[in-house]
Amino acid sequence: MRTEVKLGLTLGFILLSACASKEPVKKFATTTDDFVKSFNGFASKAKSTCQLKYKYMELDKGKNYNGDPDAGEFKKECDGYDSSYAVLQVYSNTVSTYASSLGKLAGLKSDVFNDEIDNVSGQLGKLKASGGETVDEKAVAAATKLIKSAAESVTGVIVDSKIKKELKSNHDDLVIVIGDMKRFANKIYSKNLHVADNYTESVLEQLKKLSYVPGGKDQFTTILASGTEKKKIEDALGARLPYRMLQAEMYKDKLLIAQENKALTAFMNSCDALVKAHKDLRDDFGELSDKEMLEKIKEFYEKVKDARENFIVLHS
Amino acid sequence: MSTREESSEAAIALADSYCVKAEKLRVMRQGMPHGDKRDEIFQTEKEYLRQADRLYSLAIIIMGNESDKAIKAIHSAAERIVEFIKIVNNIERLLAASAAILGIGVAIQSGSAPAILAAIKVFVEAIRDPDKEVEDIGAETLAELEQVKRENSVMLNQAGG
Repeated sequence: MRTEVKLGLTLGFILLSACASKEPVKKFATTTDDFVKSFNGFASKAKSTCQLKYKYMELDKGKNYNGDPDAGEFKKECDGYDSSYAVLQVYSNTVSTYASSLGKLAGLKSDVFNDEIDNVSGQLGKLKASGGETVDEKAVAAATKLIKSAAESVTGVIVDSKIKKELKSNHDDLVIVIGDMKRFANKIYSKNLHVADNYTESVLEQLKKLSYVPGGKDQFTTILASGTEKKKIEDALGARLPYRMLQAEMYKDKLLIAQENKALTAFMNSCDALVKAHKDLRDDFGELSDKEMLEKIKEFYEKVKDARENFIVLHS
Repeated sequence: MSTREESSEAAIALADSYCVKAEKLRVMRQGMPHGDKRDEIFQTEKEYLRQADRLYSLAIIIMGNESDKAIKAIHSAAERIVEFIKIVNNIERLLAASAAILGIGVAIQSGSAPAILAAIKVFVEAIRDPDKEVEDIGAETLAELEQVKRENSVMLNQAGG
């Protein structure tokens, strides 16, 4: 086996063993991105969810009622959430920016090196053209590749160390921030859904009562029959149909609330999962201790020196 | 003395109590015929809900203030990481440039190999000190590499004529 191949393999091995796997950090970043999107969904609906209860409540008020959804009185309620939305956005931006920066850090790639190898050939040509000493192109490429591996390893160790440090120093603050996001979901958003659901219940109960058709004489059918063309009782037998059909509408609304509640529960679970994932990363990222890492770096340094000496031998 | 955390909790607890009051009125109102009395209860019930909503939305703002330090710390961490990524990118770029020049340097046996090894040595020695910040290690290595780049460029120009 050629010397540079052997050295390449050794350096490759060091590269693998000296650097922790960054995949879990990248995964943490992408998962957090989904988490933030989910939170943004709830945050942007905080006001409209608050308004829901007023919407159903209005159906039960005395005197006039305007069913135009754009003209609804309930639209004037819950203005306080306009200001609090800005705070909720701060939470989501904070978590998003942090996770994305960690993801970028874990995803650093040394792709610039490939261009630089081509650049060596260009410079070689320049040397030859200017009458410089005879050079072995293959040997130059081998030397460059060795240093490329060394450089990747060095930056890899620095990045590992930085990731480890950031995970440690930010965990407690992240717990507070995620904790607040969960409190908003659990104690405020959820409460608004619960109250809105109570009001749908009021409306639904009334619709159910109005859906009842008595077995004997029915005054309501009689009254409605007077408004039909032939003024016959038979033509007003569907008097309760609108109430019965509107029940289905209310059930749909209740279902939407139930689905939102389900999504909210999933979000709250993901708050816990995210904190745990960060904690696990903090505790487990980079299995090498500082002392072990130092040993690896020393080993790496020695190998780079060997690489150079071997290369010179190879060249001469 | 109450802590800041207790402020948002207190606002939420008070809001909850208004919700309970509104709920009691809602249940009571259901069995009542329409008229002034029912309208009056309806308005009171609505006002309780409004109070609750004001307190809930206020609690979010208070919560943000209470956690201001943690939010800023996480933001700073993100900024710090982005700055660090720039340093690493610079180190990589300079290492790459140095490596390219080193290839030629070794080939013409002009002795530039020790220069890049010196830069790596700076890194190794810096990381040996556990109290040394990662940013400092990066900055020092970067400074050393810039020196390598300058020296190598001069060497290459001399060699290349």
